[in-house]
Amino acid sequence: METDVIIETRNLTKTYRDFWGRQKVQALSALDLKIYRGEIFGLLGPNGSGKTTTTKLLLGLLFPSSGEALVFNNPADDVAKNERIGYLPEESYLYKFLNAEETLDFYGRLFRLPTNIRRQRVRDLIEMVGLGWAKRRQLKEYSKGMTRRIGLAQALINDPELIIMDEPTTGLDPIGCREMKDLILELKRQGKTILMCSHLLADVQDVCDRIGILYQGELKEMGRVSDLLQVKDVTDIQTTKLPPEAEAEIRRVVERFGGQVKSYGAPSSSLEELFLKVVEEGKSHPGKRYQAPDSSRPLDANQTKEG
Amino acid sequence: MVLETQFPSVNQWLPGAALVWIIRIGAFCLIALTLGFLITGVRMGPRRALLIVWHAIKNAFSDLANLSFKRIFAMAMLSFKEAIRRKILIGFVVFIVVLLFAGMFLDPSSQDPARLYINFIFWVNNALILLLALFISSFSIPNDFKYKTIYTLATKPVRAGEIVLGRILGFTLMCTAMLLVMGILSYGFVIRSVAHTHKLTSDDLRSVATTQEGVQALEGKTSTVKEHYHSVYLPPEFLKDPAGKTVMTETTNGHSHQITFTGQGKERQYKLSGVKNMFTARVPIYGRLRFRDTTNFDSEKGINVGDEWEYRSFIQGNSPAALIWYFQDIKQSSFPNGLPVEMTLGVFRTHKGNIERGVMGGLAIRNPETGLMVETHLFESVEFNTKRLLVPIKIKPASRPQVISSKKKLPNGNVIYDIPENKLNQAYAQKAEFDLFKDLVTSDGRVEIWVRCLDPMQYFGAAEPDLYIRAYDAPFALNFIKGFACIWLEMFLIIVYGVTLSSLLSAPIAIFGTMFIMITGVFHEYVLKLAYGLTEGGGVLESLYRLLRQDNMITELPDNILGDVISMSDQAINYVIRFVGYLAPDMSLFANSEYVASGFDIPWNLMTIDALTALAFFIPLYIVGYLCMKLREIAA
Repeated sequence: METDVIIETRNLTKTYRDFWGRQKVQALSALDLKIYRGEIFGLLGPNGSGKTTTTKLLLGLLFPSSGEALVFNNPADDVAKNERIGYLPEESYLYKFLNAEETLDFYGRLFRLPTNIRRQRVRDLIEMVGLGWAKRRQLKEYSKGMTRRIGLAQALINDPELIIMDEPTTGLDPIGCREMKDLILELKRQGKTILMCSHLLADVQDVCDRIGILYQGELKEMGRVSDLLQVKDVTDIQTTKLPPEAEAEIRRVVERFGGQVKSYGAPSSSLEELFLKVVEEGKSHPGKRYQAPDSSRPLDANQTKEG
Repeated sequence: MVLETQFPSVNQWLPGAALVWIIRIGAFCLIALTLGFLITGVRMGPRRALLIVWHAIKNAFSDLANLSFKRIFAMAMLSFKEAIRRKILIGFVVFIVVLLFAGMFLDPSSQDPARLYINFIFWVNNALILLLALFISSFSIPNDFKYKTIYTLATKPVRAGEIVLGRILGFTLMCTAMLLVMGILSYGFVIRSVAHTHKLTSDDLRSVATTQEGVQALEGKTSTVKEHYHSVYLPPEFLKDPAGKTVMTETTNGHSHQITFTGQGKERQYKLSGVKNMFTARVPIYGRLRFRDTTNFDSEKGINVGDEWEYRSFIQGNSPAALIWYFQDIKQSSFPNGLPVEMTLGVFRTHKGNIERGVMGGLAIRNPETGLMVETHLFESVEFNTKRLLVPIKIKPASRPQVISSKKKLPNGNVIYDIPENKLNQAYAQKAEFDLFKDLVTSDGRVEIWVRCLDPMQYFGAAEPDLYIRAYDAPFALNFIKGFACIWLEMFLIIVYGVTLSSLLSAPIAIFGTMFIMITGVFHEYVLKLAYGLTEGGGVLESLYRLLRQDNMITELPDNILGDVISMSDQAINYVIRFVGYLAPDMSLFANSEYVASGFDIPWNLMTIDALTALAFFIPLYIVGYLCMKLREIAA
């Protein structure tokens, strides 16, 4: 096994059976996968495609029916590998009777972190996930977004080399999603390896280096995001805003080279970008409110334009 | 009051117990691995299951060797916080309410209030803490699975063994803290509930004698408090000069009070202390009992007077028959004032006789080396009334001393003597006064105490613990703590069983399983008797057959194929019962509150056996808990 292979699965298969041993569902079928040091790997697929089963097999939470899963070149059920892993489950399965500080302190103790380092890391992580104001509140009082944030903090308490995230943006608002994605990219910059499962394609596209697509327990596609998404028979040009008379000239040039202009006009930004822009403006201009332009006011049924 | 159960010394008990323990460890591990294999086998097929079980066994040693106390402590603190934040302290409120109501319903005027209060307080503590331990221990790991917190936990470098051990430690710490507080409150409750004193004035006393010096002896009774009073006798020498003298009231309701006074004549003011001698922790020295029959031969058993319960054997009155207790290691340094003997005899009357008085008996001391026997006391005894006698250092015989040997008839008809009759020296008996330790106790501390029944046609009966030498009194508070330590051990075992079973089963099933094992443990002796076919009425199916047919217990099974099937099935069932019986600890070992309530010190010997038993169960159960967690597919 190459030294920079962090995760490797060989013919990994998982079959769920009922009480009587009868096959209920084949959740994962002969998965062969390699994830390398420092990359962000996205596991995509619709619900029930085997993404979560794969992560559970890699974490040793499930036993494979056949094949094997290796993490850091050790079998997945080897507890010692957990020293270098951080896991953010689909929902934050945390002890609701603890507060944020106690939660992180507890998980820090499981890694046997020295007291001063543990305390410092608890402070830093609470600060990082923006829960300083609620650190003494029991988790049962937390909203879903807050619980996700503290879940993320616990996954990073040991400064892990490998982070496994199951639907990391679930339950987060768009700002939270953006912060999560920024954080994932920051972790990559720090040299960490990340495996994330998601069915939110935009999230995966934004951050992943490579992706694998699972469907009905089988790996259907795998490769670099840029390679897989590249549309080879279309050329895309973006320029600063041009005058209207430029359109005819451009169309002529394209036709001269045997091409065909499929669309021409101003591109639209994504709703996420609009939302983030509005929130940023809201922060910098707290008093500013939405003003409906007169032209956009709906007309009264009995009212004519002439009055 | 005597205690009817005696325990072997740790040295006698340990070899046999160690063997059973090794068998238990093997059995427990076998169960865990078999269950693990079956469950995994159903899910993944036998080949894969075998591989997983083998992997678990292979990793067990390294996992156990790499246990981290820091992680165990973290798990323990988590369990502690969990218990507190899930409002487990509500148990305290229940406890306080029970104590408040108990004060209204317990009768302080009962004949033995100490026993009443102590029994009650131990029962309440036992019930409350054991229930608490059962519930918190059985819900913890199943809740981890139910709320999937185990996903986060198991992806940290925490080993299955650390989860199990941490849970056990945390709940034990939690329950220990609760038991400690409840114990302190209980002690205060018992002491305060029975605390009282009485008033005694000159008007309560009357003169019963006057000395030549004109000093009177007074007797009377104290004021009535808590529905009792005490008779009082004040001897003239005490009234003349009380310095250095201790005078107590008569014992009523298991206690007395010390009397002091100031002033003389009509100015005399009496004062009574608080309760004395109510809370004791007697340390008895038991001897070995044998019987002497009417023909002067020793035997292991006496006469059966018709009781179904053969615990006590009887001797015939007005005959050479005697109850003989043989003691060892009786040293003068331990008993400078003489031998305090306490006995509680069974008295069987074949005729009423003088019903106003008890049956007459005699207590004698015999030197097993010289054969010299000196009767020290003549006494009256009524059924199960405890007699306290002090054999003084200087003994004036109550009857003619004798020099006799003890003899026993062997099954082959030969007779053996402890001292050959030709070596008996009658000169030893030719004294008017005897010294207890010089004449009657051997140099190495051996001595015999003989009890005879003197009334014709009446009988005395006894079992070994019915007579003992009261070596000294241990502090009551320490004995109370020992009683609570026994509850603690029970609680610990319940936590261990609860956590272990819940590592495989759901919470309600784990609770049911723990309760089943504990109940089996309470009836441990009976269960093993049943398992070995020693109970009357046969096995389970045989009894059921008789119940359905309304036959009595001595009716033979039918001599046909049905009878054969029932017998064979019962044998198979008995193996299962035997197996289950050995999975459960003998809980009667831990039920020692009777010692405290009866005023006996809980022997350290028994405490050691209890502690070792708890430890002996903890180790295999911990291994089972570890294997169950290890073999369990967490996210299945």
